[in-house]
Amino acid sequence: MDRGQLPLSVVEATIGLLLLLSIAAAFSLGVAPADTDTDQLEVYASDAATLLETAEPQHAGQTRLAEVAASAGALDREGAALRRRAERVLPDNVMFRIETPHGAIGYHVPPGVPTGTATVATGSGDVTLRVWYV
Amino acid sequence: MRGQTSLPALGVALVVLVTATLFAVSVAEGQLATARGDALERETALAVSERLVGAGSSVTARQNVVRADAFDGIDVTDLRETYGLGADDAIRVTLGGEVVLATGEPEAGTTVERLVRVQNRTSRRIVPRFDRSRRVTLPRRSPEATLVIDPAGNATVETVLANGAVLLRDTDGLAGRYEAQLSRYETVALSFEGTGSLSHGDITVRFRPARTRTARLRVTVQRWGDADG
Repeated sequence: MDRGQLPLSVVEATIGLLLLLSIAAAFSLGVAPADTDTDQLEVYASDAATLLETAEPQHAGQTRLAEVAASAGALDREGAALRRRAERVLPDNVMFRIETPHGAIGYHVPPGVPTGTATVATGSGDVTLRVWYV
Repeated sequence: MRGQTSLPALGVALVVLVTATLFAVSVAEGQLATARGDALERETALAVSERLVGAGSSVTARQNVVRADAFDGIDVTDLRETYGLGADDAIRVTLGGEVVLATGEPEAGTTVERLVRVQNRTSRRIVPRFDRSRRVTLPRRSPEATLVIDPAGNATVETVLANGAVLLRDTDGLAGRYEAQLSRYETVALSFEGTGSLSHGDITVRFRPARTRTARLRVTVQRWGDADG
C-alpha cells in the first residue's frame, strides 16, 4: 500500500465482479427467443393442408386434393385451380409449394428460410405442402 | 501492515461482490421467468386454438370449418372449463378480425393464427316441375334434405333414389314428410319412381347447402402473472 499497490482484495473483487456481470449478460442475451415463426408456419401448413384435404371434390374423387394429385393430366388441368384455392386460404404474406407425385404447384422454396411442412396421404401418393414467409 | 489487506478494502470488496451477485441473480431470474411465461402463453394459445378448430369442438362442423353462428352459443366460462384456461389468463379470440370471445384485455400476449373456413347454411327449397321426367338434380350439395311427397291425382311414388341408391321405399306409395341423409361429396340427383306422371307441386325438396368463406381465427393469450415480465 505504501508502495502504491492495490489491495489484493480489491483486485479479487474486481475479477469476481467481472465474472458475475458476464454471467448476468449471458442470461440477458442468451435465453433464446422461442422459435415463433416456425411454430406459426407449421400451424399454417397443417391448417391449409386440412382445408385443402377436406374440400369437397368437384368430380368423383374422394377429396379435392386427391383429384388433383391423381395424375399428371389432372395436375395440368386443375393445378391452377388448386393454386388459386391455396392462395385464398393462406395469408398474403405466406408463400407455398405443393408437391405431388406428378409435379409441383406454387413457388420455389428459397434456400435458408424457415418453412412449415404438412403432408397428406392421398390415394396416389403423398402430397406435401410447404409454406414460408415472404 | 505489510502483506496484509486493509480492512476497509475488504469491506468494500465484499459489499461490491454481494451487490453484483444479487443483481446477476435477479437478471437471470427475470429472463428465465419471461422465457417460461412466453412458452406457456404460446402453449396455451396453441392448445386453445387447437381445441377450437378441432373436429370435436362445439363450434366446428368438421376439422377447421367453423359454423358461422356457433360462437353465439359459448361464453368465457365454457372457454375456461372446456379449454383449460387459468383463471388469471386474459384471452381474446377473433374470427375474421371480429372479436368473438374475450376475457380480460390482453394487451401484448402471444397470438396464434389459424386458417379456417366459416360455414353458413342457408335453407333452400325447390319444387320440381317434372316435365315428363321423374328426376331432379339438387343444384348444390347438402348433407341432408327434407322431402315432402304429396302426389296429386293417380300418380304414386314408391321409391326415391339418390344417384341410383335407394333412399326411401314403400310399395304402398310414399306420402308425407321424410328426412334424408345425402352425400356431401357428390352432386345428388333424386329420382322418384312410381306410377302415373308427377306434376309441379307434387314434390317439395328442402335442403341446406353450405356456403363457406376463408377466415383467420386468432387466439391471443396473456398470462397476468407475467405481465410485468
